[in-house]
Order: sequence, then C-alpha cells, then structure tokens
Amino acid sequence: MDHFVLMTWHATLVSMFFAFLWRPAGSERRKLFLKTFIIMVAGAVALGWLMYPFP
Amino acid sequence: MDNPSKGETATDVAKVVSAAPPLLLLAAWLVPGLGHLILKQRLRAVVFGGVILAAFLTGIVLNGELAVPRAGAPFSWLAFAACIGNGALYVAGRLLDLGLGNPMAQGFSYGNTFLVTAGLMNLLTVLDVSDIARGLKE
Repeated sequence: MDHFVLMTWHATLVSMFFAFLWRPAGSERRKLFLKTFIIMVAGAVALGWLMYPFP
Repeated sequence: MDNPSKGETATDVAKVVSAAPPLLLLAAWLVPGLGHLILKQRLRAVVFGGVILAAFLTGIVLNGELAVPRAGAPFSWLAFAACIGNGALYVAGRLLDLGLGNPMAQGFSYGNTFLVTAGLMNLLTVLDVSDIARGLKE
C-alpha cells in the first residue's frame, strides 16, 4: 500500500468534488481543482518534511 | 429579505424562500447524484455520484469501517453521523457485511477516512440540491 498514492487519490476526489460544487463552469472549475489539489498534496508533503526531524 | 427588484415578481421571491421538497432531499441523500439528476444537472450528478462511489469503494477495499454508534464512545457517534451520509450505500454495505472494518489491516485508518469523506460529501450534495431547488443557486 502506497501512502502517497492514497493521499493523491483522496486529494483528487475531494478537489474534483469541490470544483464542481463551488464553480458553475469550465475554466473556473479547472482553476479551483488545480489550486485545491496542489495545496492538499504539496501541503501534506511539506508538512511531512517539517515533521521529519521529530521522533 | 430585500424588496423584490425591478422585474422580479412575488412568485419569484416565493420560489427562493420556499423549502425544498423533502422527497427530493431524501432521493439526494439515498443515491449520490440522484438529486442533481432530478434537477437536470446531469454533469454534476455524474461527477458527484462517481466521486462519492469511488471514495466509498476505496474505503471498503481498504478495510475501513462503516461506523455504528457505540455506548461510551462519543466519537463513534460522529463517525456514524458522517458514514450514514452515504445513504443507500451505507445500508447496502451493512446488509452485505461490507465495511465491518479490520483494525489490524494496514489500510484501516485510510479506509475510515475515505468512508467518512464520502458520507460528508454526499451530505454536502444534499445541501446543494436544497439550494438549487430553492432557487438560491443555479
């Protein structure tokens, strides 16, 4: 089981959901999807790195 | 509410403030995407239905638990409230003995997360259907 793949899959589903829930159409949806997806994945990776020195 | 603007009739205003039909909300909760389909929002219906089903199935495959409330475990009530949001998927899962949860499985926590996420997303779609039916959103 790959934790990163699961996290990315979760981020994909949630980002897609909110893009369609909150934006009425096309390019706005794509923008929100990308923004949410990148924040979720990059944020999780960054947080992981920050936690790395701690036991 | 503000006074009706120019060109807006009293009927239009009444449409906005009236409650959404309970059967529509029930359908939206029971089957992910059905509420939007009834409101002729086909793309949203397909995406919401697909995303929620995918999250639900991922949770089941990862040995997550479709939560049930337990006496003395207040957080189990929160998990139950989220999982019951899956509607018919929750009922079917329990009836088919899916989603019993295996705490020893590697994916147990991830599975729970996916199941809870699916339920919460479906509850949000019910609210969205309510807004659309009441004329508060297109």
